[in-house]
Amino acid sequence: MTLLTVNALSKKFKANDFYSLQDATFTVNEGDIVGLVGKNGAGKSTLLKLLTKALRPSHGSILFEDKDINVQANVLDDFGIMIEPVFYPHLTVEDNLDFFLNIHDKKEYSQNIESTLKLVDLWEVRKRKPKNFSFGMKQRTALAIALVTEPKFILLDEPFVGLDPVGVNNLIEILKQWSIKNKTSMIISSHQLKELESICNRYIFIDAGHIKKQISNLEQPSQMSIILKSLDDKTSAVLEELVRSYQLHYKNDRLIIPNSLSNQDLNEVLGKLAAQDLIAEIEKQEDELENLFVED
Amino acid sequence: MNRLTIPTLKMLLKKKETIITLLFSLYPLLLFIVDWFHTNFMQIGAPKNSLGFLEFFSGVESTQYQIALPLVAFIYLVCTIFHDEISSGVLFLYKDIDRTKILNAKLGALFIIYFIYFGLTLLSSLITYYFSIIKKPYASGKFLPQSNSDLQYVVLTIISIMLVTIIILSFASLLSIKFGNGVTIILGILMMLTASIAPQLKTVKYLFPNGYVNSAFNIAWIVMIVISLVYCSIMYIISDKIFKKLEF
Ligand SMILES: Nc1ncnc2c1ncn2[C@@H]1O[C@H](COP(=O)(O)OP(=O)(O)OP(=O)(O)O)[C@@H](O)[C@H]1O
Ligand SMILES: [Mg+2]
Repeated sequence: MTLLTVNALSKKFKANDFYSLQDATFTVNEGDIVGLVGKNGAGKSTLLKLLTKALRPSHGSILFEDKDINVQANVLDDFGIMIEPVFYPHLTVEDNLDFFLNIHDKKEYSQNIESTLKLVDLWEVRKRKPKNFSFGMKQRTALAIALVTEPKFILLDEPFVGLDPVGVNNLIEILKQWSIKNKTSMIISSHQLKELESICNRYIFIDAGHIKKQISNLEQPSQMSIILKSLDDKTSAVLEELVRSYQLHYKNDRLIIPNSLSNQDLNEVLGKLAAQDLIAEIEKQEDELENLFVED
Repeated sequence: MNRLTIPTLKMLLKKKETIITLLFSLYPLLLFIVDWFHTNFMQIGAPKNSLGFLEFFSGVESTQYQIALPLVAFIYLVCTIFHDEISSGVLFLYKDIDRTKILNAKLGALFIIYFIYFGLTLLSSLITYYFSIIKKPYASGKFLPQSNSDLQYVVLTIISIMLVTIIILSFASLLSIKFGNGVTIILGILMMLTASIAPQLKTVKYLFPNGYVNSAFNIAWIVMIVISLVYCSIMYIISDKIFKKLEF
């Protein structure tokens, strides 16, 4: 089912003589997780801000569930938005969520506060003010606000920026869990292609304000191959077990690990291989998304 | 008032800018600590047995206005409510709630804070008057002034300062939606100065509500309120237009 229809959407800022976004046309279906990629200044944030109505289009339209979002207020009721990590720094984490639910008249979601804060690992610090939080904690505070009302549609602008590798993996896990649980659609802009690949099923590539390419289901998803040392009976059994339980592929001495494998699983797999002293070399495959940036 | 007003008010009451602003309402209590009242601290001529509570209160309010600091603190608070929230993207939290509703809630909460400030000033004046001032020779010990004409003058003074404050806060809000904090604070202070000087100039005397304090009571209070309403409505309409079109 199509949730979002973007039609010939364009934006030219008064100060500029060029379009920051021109004739963008695409749709997003229920459950789609769309990666929005492009160079600096390509127009990703502009597109996302148009979708949140922080900017008004110069031309074109945006329909959400067949309603033109720019015609009336409160159309974004079902949206979770994190364009910038925002919250009131002088309110505690808990009060921020409470304020958000209050202004949107969604007190019925108060019972979600605990589970959402636990999901983003802020439950313990819920009485603290985000003012002095670390960057990652601020990011997660904003994310909790975006998620607490169980939105149907989530918009995230560069959610991985500034997070350490563990933070990035946690965020990916959170988003994955969330999309599985709630069938949420998402548009996520990022320069971290590997991270996007582990959650997105579609990609929109923007260059200089134009949508240059849309890709569904990468033909050759990014993956890692581990070249193994020669096997004996015992290690063969270990390998077979791994292939079966984590749904991996093994051919020509190579164990192929898809990028979609969760962080924890990846660690377990590598741990078990390392325990048998099986790893000879690790290779990373070139991938389609990265090629987009190299062309032309 | 709408459903956003109370959450907005509660949120604002937790800001240190709000607390600092409200602290200025405790200013009459200073008189307990500092005993320089007789050195012309309050600018009310006070012969023996003459100073009633309401006159004292209007003196407190006038002094608060003249020292300008409380109003500057209010203007700074306005900056955090509008410009700071716009430039930091905090407005994303409101998603696409009708912008007029958001504006009304912010202005509503701001004016409620002003009324709290006014009420606290009244309260701390009451405490100061009845626990301290009343012991002085120039205090009359009465709530109301001696004569009817004094009463009318005092009431007009109190109302006019309230109205001028509301006009200046509306003006600052309008500026803060459009401009940065520097511009808002400077133009806000200029407006304060203009409003203080205008009543002393023949040509522009009647531009501000405080130009009418010496006029006939029956007309003056109505005219004051009407011109303030006109100013505030015009500024509200412009604010609403700009806020609706605002991009961030
Ligand atoms: N408020 C604005 N006023 C004028 N020009 C703007 C404004 N916002 C963005 N632009 C311009 O629009 C173009 C697209 O910017 P945008 O922020 O959408 O890029 P982006 O793809 O998000 O880049 P990045 O990867 O660096 O975040 C840029 O040329 C930028 O300078
Ligand atoms: Mg951007």
